[in-house]
Amino acid sequence: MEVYLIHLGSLVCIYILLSLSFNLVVGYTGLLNLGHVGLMAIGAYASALLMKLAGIPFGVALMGAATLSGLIGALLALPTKKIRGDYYALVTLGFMFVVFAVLVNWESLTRGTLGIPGIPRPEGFTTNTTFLLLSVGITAVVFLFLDRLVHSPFGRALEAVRDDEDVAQALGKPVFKLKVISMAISGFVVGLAGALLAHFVQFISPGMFWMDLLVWALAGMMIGGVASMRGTVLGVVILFGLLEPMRFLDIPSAYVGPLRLLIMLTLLLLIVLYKPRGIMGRAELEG
Amino acid sequence: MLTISHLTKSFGGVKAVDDVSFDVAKNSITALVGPNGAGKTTVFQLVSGLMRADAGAVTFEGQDLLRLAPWRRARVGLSRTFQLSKLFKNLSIEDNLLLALREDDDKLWNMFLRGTGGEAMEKKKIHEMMDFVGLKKDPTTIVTDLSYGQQKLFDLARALLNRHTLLMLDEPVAGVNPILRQQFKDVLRQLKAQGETILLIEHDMDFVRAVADHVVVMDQGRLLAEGSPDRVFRDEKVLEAYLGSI
Repeated sequence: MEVYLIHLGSLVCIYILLSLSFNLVVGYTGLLNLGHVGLMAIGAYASALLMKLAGIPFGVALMGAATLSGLIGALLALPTKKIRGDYYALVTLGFMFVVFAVLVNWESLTRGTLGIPGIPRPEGFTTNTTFLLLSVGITAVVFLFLDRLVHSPFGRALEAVRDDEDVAQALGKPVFKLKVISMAISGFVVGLAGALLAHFVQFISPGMFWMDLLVWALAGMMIGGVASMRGTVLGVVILFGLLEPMRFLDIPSAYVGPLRLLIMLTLLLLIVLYKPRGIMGRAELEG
Repeated sequence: MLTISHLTKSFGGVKAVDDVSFDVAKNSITALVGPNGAGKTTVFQLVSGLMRADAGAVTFEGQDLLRLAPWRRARVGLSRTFQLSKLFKNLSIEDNLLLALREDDDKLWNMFLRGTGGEAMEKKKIHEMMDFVGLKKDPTTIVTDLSYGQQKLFDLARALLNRHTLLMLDEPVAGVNPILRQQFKDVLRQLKAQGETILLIEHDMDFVRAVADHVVVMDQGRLLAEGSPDRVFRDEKVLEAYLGSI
């Protein structure tokens, strides 16, 4: 049991990073970035390839991968110059499909659907216990950074963008710049999450970065709280607490995955209907 | 201070603003009036940059405004309210007003220097402004909890706190009760006495007569007349436009 919990701990940290970064851009900035998981995939593949093929040290690969995700995240903010709301969500969803297609089809680099096995863990963090310490450390630093950010004047300016772009501009806020920075930071963090996942599981394939992961990001934010970093941590922990015990139920393993997704979506629906801000949320998204 | 020259804006085949030109003099209250659909709010949107003009020029203290992004226009000294109150609806009154007061909150490095809690000086300014406009509410109240009239006062407070040299008010007293209307009147007179320059859209002609130094009348996108309130409101074309719209 202890081994299992240690293993689970790293995954919880990675999913917290996924949801925190999603909340920054969706909950605080009001950009429904459905391509978030695509940025995570870029982080995962970049870090894995940098370390495995190029032999670059873990720390450099990790930061390089996160920086690449952050840069692409910033580029993904460019369409917001012209489009808003649901249209932006569609564009970013398209981005996720493009990333998936590239990962599947660029076989010479990514091995396509076969995925990349044998991704090394960093030296000194090869056991699950030490990797958990690394994951907790990185998650704690990111959490403290993001929590400070959203409680600063900069965070409030992001919330102004979320609530009303026109008024934000009329008050002299450079809305586009704020969106680009938010997407860059969010991309960096989710790239970090992707990289950690790659080195933790030691295998990645395109199918790991698909809609179900997006549902995780969304559910963590919606349950814990829209525009609440602390709530997001709580939301992800609640989700794991509810869904993980299902592994021990006496049902065929093929049903466990879909059933977990079904429960998560039901929970999400109930939250949206009855507590749209989530448990600790400070904002309600337009819908 | 503000010069609008041959400003034009069409939506499809409709010319919402058609070759409109007028000036706003420093330390004056200029009222932009006209029947519904005359193009007044479109002029505000074009001047503040929330819509792009098809043709014409807008200069503000010598600067060509139409070349600037909307947020830069705010930073050169335009501050405005909206016809329907637009709020940062998930934030408190204080947070909303701090957003108007602070100009450096888009600087990420500030996060390491200051929290969201307004510093004492800023809070003091906010409380003084709320007192000045007559908004008697706990600043921590979520802004959507304000009544309609209070939201109008809040709009004015926010526009005033935003550093500016020209205040643009879009129907500040539309739908408010007579007592509050009088309150607005007093506040605008005080602002003028303090040297403010105000461009105002308003339908209430008594209100306009009481506060405005100069009146610009628009009808169907075109400039119909301009001059002192007494002269403009005796103008037959103006009377016809208004009576025709009732």
